[in-house]
Amino acid sequence: MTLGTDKGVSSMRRVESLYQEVVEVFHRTVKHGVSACMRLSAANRRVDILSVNPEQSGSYLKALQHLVVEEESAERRSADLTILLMDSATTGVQMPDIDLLKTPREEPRKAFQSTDGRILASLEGEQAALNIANLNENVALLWLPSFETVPGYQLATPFRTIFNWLFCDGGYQLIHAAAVGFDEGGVLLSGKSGSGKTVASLACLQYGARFLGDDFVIIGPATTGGGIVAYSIYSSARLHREMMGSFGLSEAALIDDKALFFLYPEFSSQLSSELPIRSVFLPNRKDAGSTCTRIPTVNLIREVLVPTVAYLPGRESVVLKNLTTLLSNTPFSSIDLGGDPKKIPDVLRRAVAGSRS
Amino acid sequence: MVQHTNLRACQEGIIFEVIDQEIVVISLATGVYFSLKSPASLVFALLESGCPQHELVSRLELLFDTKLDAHSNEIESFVGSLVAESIMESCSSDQCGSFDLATIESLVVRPFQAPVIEKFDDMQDLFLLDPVHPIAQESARNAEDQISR
Repeated sequence: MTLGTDKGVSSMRRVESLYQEVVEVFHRTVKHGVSACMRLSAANRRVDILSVNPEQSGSYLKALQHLVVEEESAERRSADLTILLMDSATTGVQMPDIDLLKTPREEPRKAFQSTDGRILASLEGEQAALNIANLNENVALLWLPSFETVPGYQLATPFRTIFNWLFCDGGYQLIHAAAVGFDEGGVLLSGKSGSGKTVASLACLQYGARFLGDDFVIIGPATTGGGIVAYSIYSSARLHREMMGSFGLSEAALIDDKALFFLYPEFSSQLSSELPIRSVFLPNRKDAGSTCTRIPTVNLIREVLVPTVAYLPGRESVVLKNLTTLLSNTPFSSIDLGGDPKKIPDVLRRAVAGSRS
Repeated sequence: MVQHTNLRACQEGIIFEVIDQEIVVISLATGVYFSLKSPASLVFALLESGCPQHELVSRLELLFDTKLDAHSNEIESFVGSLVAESIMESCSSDQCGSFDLATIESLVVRPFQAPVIEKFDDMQDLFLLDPVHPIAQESARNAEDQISR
């Protein structure tokens, strides 16, 4: 997003200096603490996460634990991406002036960028967590008010904005979709919140299918065959109150209107890091059976790309380009999953088998 | 059509992509999105790639290999709608974007019909929502206590 107003020009300069400022604060702070935290392997990239407080930030990073890799120092290669994680409560340092990043509540969320577009910054949530990234250095920083007051949606999908900025170069793309896998192949389930992605993916998990994510996964080009591959990024799931009984969940898991729970380590054997995708489905639950209807490409892309762009502020034109490129050759259908979660895996499995023929 | 100005996609808050023979335009400022099917997509692509407004009908006639005098008012009205909806804005000829010739030719769907903008506002709430998935603030420690099944 190019900002042409006086305030916009000021913001562009401010984003550059803000990046320098917050990274300096991080490094100054970790002199008095431990910074080494963990290394992830996600979508063929090594991501190092350095925290000012590894003990407390563990809760924030829980949805990423399934991606942690242990590497001997001899074989350890340098990270492709580095994310610095800090909070004000631990460091006692308040965020620098971020007023220029604030937008009126009635305006859409914005990501501001530097003059060359390679440094991005945005505020997230009512607590105004600061996301900032330097794409030239592949370094990003997330500054939270406190590790102890993180909203549930951020715990379910940590670093979502930053991951999107860092991963979308090179044709990889975070997408608002669930992904599960059967012997017949992997499927993406895409649609607005409430369309049934989480119910379907958890039903498949209970059935014994492989699970990559219930809300966001990364997709990228397959090395052969021209298809796409889905990569897991989060092992969390959030489920509406009324569906908890279907999965034997107790009220103890409830946070407000949704339950947040983590599938690692209990379901480790079913968490896949990547799967080739055979088909994309737009689920609905009309209780009409298991109809599976091919729909025009443009319908799917419109229903997938618009929500994905909406959920991921910043680099929107790259996101749009990546999605249209990656999804253009993937078969997709709307699918009626019916009202009984137990029947969903079989419906999906048969549909993906049918999509291959 | 007498205007000698050039148009380009608005530089602030507009993104677009060609999908098959359609161009999907998203307004990040409002959350509204638009579908431009042929020939609307073609008109958009020609303007974006530097075709001045006063040459638009003749360029379309070449591409469709037919006279379009009867449609000139419709085309002019459509171009006006692109500006009115803040999809395109005036610019100088060297400020336009680009579309390759193959893409432009792929947007030709015969016979020529009046170009229209399809406008959708059903996703606006997603763009205006903050936080993205609203949920009461809870402590990370509480979340850690969640059961995993």
